[in-house]
Amino acid sequence: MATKNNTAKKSFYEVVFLGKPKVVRAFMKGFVMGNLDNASVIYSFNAGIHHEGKVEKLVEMVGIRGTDCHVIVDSDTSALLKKWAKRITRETGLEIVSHRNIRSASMYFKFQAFAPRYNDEVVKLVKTLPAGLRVEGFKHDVKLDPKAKGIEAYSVVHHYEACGEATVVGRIDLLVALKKKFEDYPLIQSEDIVLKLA
Amino acid sequence: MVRHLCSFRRPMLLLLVAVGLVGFWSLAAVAQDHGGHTDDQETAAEHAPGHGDDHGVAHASPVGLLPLWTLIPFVGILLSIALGPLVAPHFWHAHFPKVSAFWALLFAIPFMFWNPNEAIQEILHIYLMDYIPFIILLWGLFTISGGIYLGGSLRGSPKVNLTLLLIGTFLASLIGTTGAAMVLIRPMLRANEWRRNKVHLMVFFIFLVANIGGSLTPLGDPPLFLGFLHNVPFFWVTTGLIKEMLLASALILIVFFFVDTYFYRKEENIPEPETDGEGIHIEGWHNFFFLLGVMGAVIMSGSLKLIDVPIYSGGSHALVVPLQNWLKDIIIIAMGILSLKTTAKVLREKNGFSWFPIQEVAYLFAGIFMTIIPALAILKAGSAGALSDLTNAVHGPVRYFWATGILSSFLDNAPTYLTFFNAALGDLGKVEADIPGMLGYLDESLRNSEFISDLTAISAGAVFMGAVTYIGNAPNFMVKAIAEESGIPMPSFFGYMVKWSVPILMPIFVIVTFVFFV
Repeated sequence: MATKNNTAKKSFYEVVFLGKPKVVRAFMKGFVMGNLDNASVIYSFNAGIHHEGKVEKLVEMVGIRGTDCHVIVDSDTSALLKKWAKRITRETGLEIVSHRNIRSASMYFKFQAFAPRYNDEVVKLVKTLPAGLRVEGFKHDVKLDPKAKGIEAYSVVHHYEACGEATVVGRIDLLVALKKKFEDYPLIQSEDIVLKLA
Repeated sequence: MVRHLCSFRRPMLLLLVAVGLVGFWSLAAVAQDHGGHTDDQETAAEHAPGHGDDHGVAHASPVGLLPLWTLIPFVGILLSIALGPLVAPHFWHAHFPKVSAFWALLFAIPFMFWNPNEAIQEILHIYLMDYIPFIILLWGLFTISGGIYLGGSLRGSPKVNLTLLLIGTFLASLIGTTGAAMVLIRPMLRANEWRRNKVHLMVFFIFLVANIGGSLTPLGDPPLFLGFLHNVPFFWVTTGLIKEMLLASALILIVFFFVDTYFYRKEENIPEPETDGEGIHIEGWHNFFFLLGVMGAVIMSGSLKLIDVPIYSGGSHALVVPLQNWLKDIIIIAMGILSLKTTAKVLREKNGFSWFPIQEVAYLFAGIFMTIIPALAILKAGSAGALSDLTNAVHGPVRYFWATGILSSFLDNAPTYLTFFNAALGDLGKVEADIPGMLGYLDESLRNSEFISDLTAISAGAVFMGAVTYIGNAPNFMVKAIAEESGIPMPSFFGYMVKWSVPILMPIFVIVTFVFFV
């Protein structure tokens, strides 16, 4: 339990590289292999993390800023990247343009199920989140229409309809893992993870 | 709740009365314009020489001269069926019989006032010749196929799924698209329960099993059975549509195989071969004999000529029902009852069988057949009818294929088929009795290649394009609902069209058009 609580306090940073994502990914792979054993590296694009506001997108569209790559890293990796930022730019051409602590991360999701089994699965998943994640604003509704039991062809309605929505807030690495887990539940539709940066 | 219902009923009642009154006065005005009943008949006879009854007795019906707005109830009921489940599903589920009755009465009441004898004759005609045989056949097929259960399970690999779809495609022509969908949907779901990506399986199931598969016999899809009831020989559909059906099905199956292989490779937990399912086994297989009985009865009614039973002679022509039609209906009912008596109830329960789908068809088609009366008569009147613009505009197989198809995508395909079927007849100035000859079943000199092309295009359009939307054919929604209850996130109405049916089916239908109809 103590370990869990400790890991729940683990902090993360968003590092923005100026450079092609493929090059950044290759660099990070080598960097981690050469320097760190248990580094956490998450690529925002792959993990479904919403990382830009409208202004930043506009800046990129008008060509003021080149292609960038947002990478989420743990504090140790972040510190090392910060320390060697100039050398990285000099030797690889990759520029670190931003280095910010992630204050919090959140992900909105909703679901709809037409059989109790699938509703129960989703509710169980939501209620047994790992330490480091919490649910906010969970709304859940189940409607039963006994007259609609059985198959229909021209007037199809479900006799059981469950729907729900919530926002999961917490540590970014756990949230990314949860988003990945949600993919196994096709009835859950999750939005991009939203970061609050320091 | 009480207040809510009352607030609904009152405007509906007022609307019914208002439209009924307007309808009555307008019909009366039409009758007056044409100088009464007898003159109407003469006028129609002059302008529509090809108009006749199902047995080729030359006659003309004044109903064919009704104005275009008398089709409002027909359009209304079709739009209600299309929009009701989308816009207000729970209201529609609870009240669709009343909505159907509303549209039926909206036409029937003024029609009875306008010309009671003609109205009785037309209403009896459509119910005895079309509606009752139609419902009895669907009931028989649904009852019998509900007793056939495909047990066991397979591992849903692309090859297995392709085989299941192939079986379903051909089974649909034997037991109807609704029956085939009901029998095969659960084996398909069981075989693929372990898979994460299943939406495409249901979509292709709708394309093939719930629609295009029903092309090869009049038992396959309701529009084709209506064609059979209107003198299209039973096996003409088989020979007439097989090339179009095989091409469309083959192209769809090829696309399916690639799509399914793509999603299969994305699966992370593919079961090992040793954990394969136990294979498929059939329970209630004796019901196939009852299906053969139904097929035999239908074929018999199309080939045997017994006496005509007189029913009503008060209208512009005598209404008779051939004895073989009654015989066919009795045999189908007997086959259905035998299926019920000899099949274990548990098999129907496993298929999720209930009578509700047949009740839906019975209620809704009671309204459709009542309101379609003026549409059919006007179309039969050809250039003399109020839809002469339509009959003049839609010529040739390409237009028939796409016009019937696009309308069948959004409205029910059975009445759409019947509408264009009559348009094609009216266009050529022919009657239903001419159909076997025009299709080459009698003397070769009577063969009419123009009609053959038109009818092929209309049949293909009605059956194939029922797959374009959820509302195109009855089993589509059924499959969607069963899939959703099995945890599959089926696309929305427009999602289905945008992501699946339009990108996949439309190019295939364009190919079918160029290969067969241009």
